[in-house]
Amino acid sequence: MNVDDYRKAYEAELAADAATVGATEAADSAIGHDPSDRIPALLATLGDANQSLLARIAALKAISAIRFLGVVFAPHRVAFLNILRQIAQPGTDPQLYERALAILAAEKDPDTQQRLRSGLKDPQAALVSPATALRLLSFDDHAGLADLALDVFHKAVDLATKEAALRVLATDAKSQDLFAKLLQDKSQPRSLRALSVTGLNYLNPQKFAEIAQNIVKDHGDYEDVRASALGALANTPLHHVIRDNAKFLDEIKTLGAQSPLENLRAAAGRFLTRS
Amino acid sequence: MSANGAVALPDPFATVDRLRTSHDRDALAALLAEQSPVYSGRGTGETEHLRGYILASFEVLGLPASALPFVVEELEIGLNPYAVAAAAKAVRGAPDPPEAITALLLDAIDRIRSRDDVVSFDRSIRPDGGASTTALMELFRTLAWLGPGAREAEAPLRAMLERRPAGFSAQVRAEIERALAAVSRRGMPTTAHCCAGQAAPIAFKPAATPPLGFDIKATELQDQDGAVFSFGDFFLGRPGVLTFFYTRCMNPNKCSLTISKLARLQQRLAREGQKDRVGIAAISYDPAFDLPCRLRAYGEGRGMAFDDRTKLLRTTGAFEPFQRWLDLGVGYGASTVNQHRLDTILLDQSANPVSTIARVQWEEDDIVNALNALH
Repeated sequence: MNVDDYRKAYEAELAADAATVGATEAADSAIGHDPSDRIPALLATLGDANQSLLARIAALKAISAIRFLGVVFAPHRVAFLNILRQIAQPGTDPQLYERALAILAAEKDPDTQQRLRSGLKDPQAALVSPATALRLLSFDDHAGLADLALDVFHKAVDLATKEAALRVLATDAKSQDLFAKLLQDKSQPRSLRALSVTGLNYLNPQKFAEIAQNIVKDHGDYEDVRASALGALANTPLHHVIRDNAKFLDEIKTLGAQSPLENLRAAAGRFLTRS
Repeated sequence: MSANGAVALPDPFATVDRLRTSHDRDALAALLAEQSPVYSGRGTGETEHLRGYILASFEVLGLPASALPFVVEELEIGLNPYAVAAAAKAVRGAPDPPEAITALLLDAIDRIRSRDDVVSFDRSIRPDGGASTTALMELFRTLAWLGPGAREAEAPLRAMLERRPAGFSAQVRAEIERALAAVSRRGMPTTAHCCAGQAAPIAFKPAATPPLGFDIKATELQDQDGAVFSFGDFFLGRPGVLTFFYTRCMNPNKCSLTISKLARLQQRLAREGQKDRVGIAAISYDPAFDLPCRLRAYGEGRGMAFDDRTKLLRTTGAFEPFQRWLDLGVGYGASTVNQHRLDTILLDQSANPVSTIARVQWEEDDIVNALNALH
């Protein structure tokens, strides 16, 4: 997703949130001093398809806050999850539907995970966009998602989906060669290369350090990719080893003092000041 | 395909159904082993669901002795409501449940309270399709099934009912009341004996290792500082304590606790002047991900003080030789471990395994006493 699209989506979300303020305040006042007394009413509102969308979202927000009170909420947990499962069905307003899916995915609900997976394999069965499905499935890092994410990455044509797939693959040790390849390929979109900086540095800091040093020194590469690589080198566990390379250190000092590229200059400064 | 290259079976639930129909309890129990191919390539959630489905079979088929350790382990440290509920159901198939089961059920209730969920062991019912039981309800039903044999649960059950604010839903409270009535029945014989309520002593078993066709002592390892050496280099010449873990383990009662206990064992041996006489190490199940920096951070965070006798390790190649050598209970999903049992091995001065503790957490005394017997 590019910055403009993200800004528009975020502004729309803020506007929706503002509209729920009144309903949220009503829900908050309903909570009162003893939340346990009010949870059944909030659950009833959340589960009632005849209630307004704003009231249901407000109830969900209030319940989400009460969930932090573990002992108070425990008796209502099963009822809450059952209501979410009813909401997470086609036909519910997407604003509520996606919130319910997100909570169920965070709970590692097997049926939700299975439906999200099915949607990635078969677009006709998709509950949400592939990027959202990958994000929700990645809440469980033991979901065994790597093979599916790799398949999605190769088949996807839109950047947002490819980015989401790379975020999932960043915890899969087998994917380090893919990240190395993307990072060194100047024809790849810069956002994918930036994600490859993170992914490779996480999975194989040594290999990353070798590749990243070459990228930083390559004046023909993009400034943001070079700055990302240098920024990551400042924080890699091998930082002290890289600093021992006097020739590379001199190049970074030159970049920090003379580069006309602001991001790269700043990254060089961070690298040099890291103790 | 799993992270260790094994290929998954297409429909393992159908396999379980066939074995259920033919009442083949031993074959079902054999499927519980973590390294069974039925789990290969699957995520942890799916794996736990399948294991739970197998365990629940024993309520009707009867619980064979070979499956009991799996039931005990699930009740002792399990966090998945489905799998814990299945273990509770399996107990109801036991002809003579062990005395410690009551305490394990109470522990499981405490652990599952904040994680409860609906469970269905009927594959024709969808999760949103009206399943009417939960993990907690199954745990209380098993206490009720035990009846006066679970009399030690009477006071804890009363305390649960009196707790304010109420910690349980109305449905669960009804099950607690039924369980309380059942365990409190007077005039009924109980099977209590001298060890009632006490955990069973840790059992060390002699280690048996198969012929491998290669020298495990030459297997290359890397420690938390990046140093590379062989298994023999580290363990030869002194008794050793060897265990296994991985840094992405999600259950705090498993790997995290194991490494914390290793740290306490190290401190105790140091206090007793035995620090240099014993090698202590844990090897990662997940060597491709558990790089030296992760091993160091994980160990330090749990109190390990690394030195030349105490290390966290990973294989520089595949982990599989260790799995084969020690028949370790570990299975792999697409990217990482999907389940594992607890395995701790005592090694003699020749780096040969002399005894093992499997599926239960040990106490420092257990290990120190066993080490003293080796010296």
